[in-house]
Amino acid sequence: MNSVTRTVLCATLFATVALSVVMAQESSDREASYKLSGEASVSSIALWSGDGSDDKVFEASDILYGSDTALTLYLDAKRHNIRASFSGRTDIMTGISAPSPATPTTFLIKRAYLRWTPGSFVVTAGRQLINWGAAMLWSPADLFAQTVLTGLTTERQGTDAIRIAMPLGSLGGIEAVGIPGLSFSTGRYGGRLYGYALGSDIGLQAARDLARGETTIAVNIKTDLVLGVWAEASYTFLDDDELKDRFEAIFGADWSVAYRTIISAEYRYNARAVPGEDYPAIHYLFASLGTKLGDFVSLGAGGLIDIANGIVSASLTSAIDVAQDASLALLAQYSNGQFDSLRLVDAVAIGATLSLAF
Amino acid sequence: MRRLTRGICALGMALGMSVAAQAQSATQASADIPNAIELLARIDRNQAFTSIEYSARMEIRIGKQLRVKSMKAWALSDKKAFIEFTNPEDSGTRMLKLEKELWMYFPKEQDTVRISGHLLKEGLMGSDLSYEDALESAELSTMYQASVSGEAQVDGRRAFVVELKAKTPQAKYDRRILWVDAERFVVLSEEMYARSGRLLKTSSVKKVERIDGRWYATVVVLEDKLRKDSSTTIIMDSLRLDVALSDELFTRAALER
Repeated sequence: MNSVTRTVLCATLFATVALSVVMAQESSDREASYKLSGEASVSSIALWSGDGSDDKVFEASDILYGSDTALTLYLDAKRHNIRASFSGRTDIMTGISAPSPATPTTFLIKRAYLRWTPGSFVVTAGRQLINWGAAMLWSPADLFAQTVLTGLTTERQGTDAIRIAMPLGSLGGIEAVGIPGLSFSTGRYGGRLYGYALGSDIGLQAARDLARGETTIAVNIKTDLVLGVWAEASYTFLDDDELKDRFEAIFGADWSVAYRTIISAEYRYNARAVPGEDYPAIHYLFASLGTKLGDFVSLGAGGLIDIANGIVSASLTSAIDVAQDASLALLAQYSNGQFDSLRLVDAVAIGATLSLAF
Repeated sequence: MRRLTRGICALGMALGMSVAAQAQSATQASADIPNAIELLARIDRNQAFTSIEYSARMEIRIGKQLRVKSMKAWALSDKKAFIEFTNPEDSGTRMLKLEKELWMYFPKEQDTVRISGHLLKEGLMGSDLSYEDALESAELSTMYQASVSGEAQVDGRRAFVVELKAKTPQAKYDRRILWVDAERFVVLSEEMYARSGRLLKTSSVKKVERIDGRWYATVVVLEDKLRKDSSTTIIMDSLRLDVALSDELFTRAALER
């Protein structure tokens, strides 16, 4: 039994248990039951990449191709004060889209959790998205989630955690999150207080990582000052006195031109990156422009820059609403290096994705 | 637009819009035509609710293309509203209106975003109704001067013609013309103009139903005249008035549950 099969079996087992738990409850709320929806998509990509040397020239025979046929399913089941949510994605890939020739098929559980709401409390256990930050790409306030960038689209990754939340007023709340390790002493734990005041979203959060011996505090604010502006900062204290504390901050703004074009930009300062990070340099800039070319067509352009190392990635995207619940996305991307390894290598990619929601 | 959406639009009712309060003063028309304030007050009395619950469809037509959005909505007076979209593409997307603030929850990202700034100018889910239209609240009551200018026939029904004129530069529309059903006190049609005189938006009621002793517009067509060849038809069904709704529904916590 390979890992994909195991993952699929685990996901199926979770979905079965979750549905059974929810459906077995005695409830007078017969309207609420379960809902299955999803999205099917087919993507193709062509990529040309240099080898890092200056004498590498473009040749058509160097172009590599790949395809990705994906099915994402969302299952939500609820009764009274308990809800199960599951989202899984299967990819069947060819060529360069596959992580390796040995793994043409992958299965990713994006979320799989049970949410129980006894009274004012909300208890969520399982893989979930813990959105504490509100920035575009880098959120120092996201102490329990990572964000990845695909083209110009950012997506937070799920975290296996237990979360207890309690609302404070209509728009605020307090949360406690735990990611258990093999033992309590190897887990990661944190809390958040957030609210809305003076026209601003404000959050204060802290986390303690017992395994790594570090404590992080963070703050975030998002408001409107003609422009939409946001700022986040985090400071990480390390138990090991020989290591230096870390500081990270971002500042961003967005504004519109003629109500059809939205321009956004975000700057990140990362004083001391952790080895292995996707973005290990000190200064970054991420900017995007989105505009509507019509009621069914939008165009996006943007770039990510490692300012100190001169690494640039530029993307041009278009989204076309081709039919009810169906869309076609086009992508062209150029980069002159890799942000994680800092290796300078030219690469050009073009791709298209056709998707249908159901 | 506030009058448009609140007075005759199902979605507007959930998002909370008031009619009569907009008229601060009125000019007395002829003897058999009611005073503007009195007329608008009748509309509000007819449509006032403490709470409302309904399902609705938005049919967005752009040229020959049709996009359909479906939703369930709940509202407490005109202050609080909660909407959940149910069509496949937007399934689970929720909106929360608290007074003049608007929040949206996107289920795939499990993220809550406050709709503000430039986003307010966007069409609500691609429709001819903007988020800003949906948010207009009672404070606009100080922005227009109302007068009843006469009578007309709308789809064979007798209607009073009411004109609203902006009193302040903050008013979203410089001038509005309403055709109010003389018998049922429902706004049958409305036109909204810019200061330049350009027609910006129109609404037209296609169906009026009697619900719990009151008349409600249940099918309304909106047209944003700045968009080319587009219209949005809002069709409301399963409407229930003055139902028991918990305040807990109208919180960010409920949005994310």
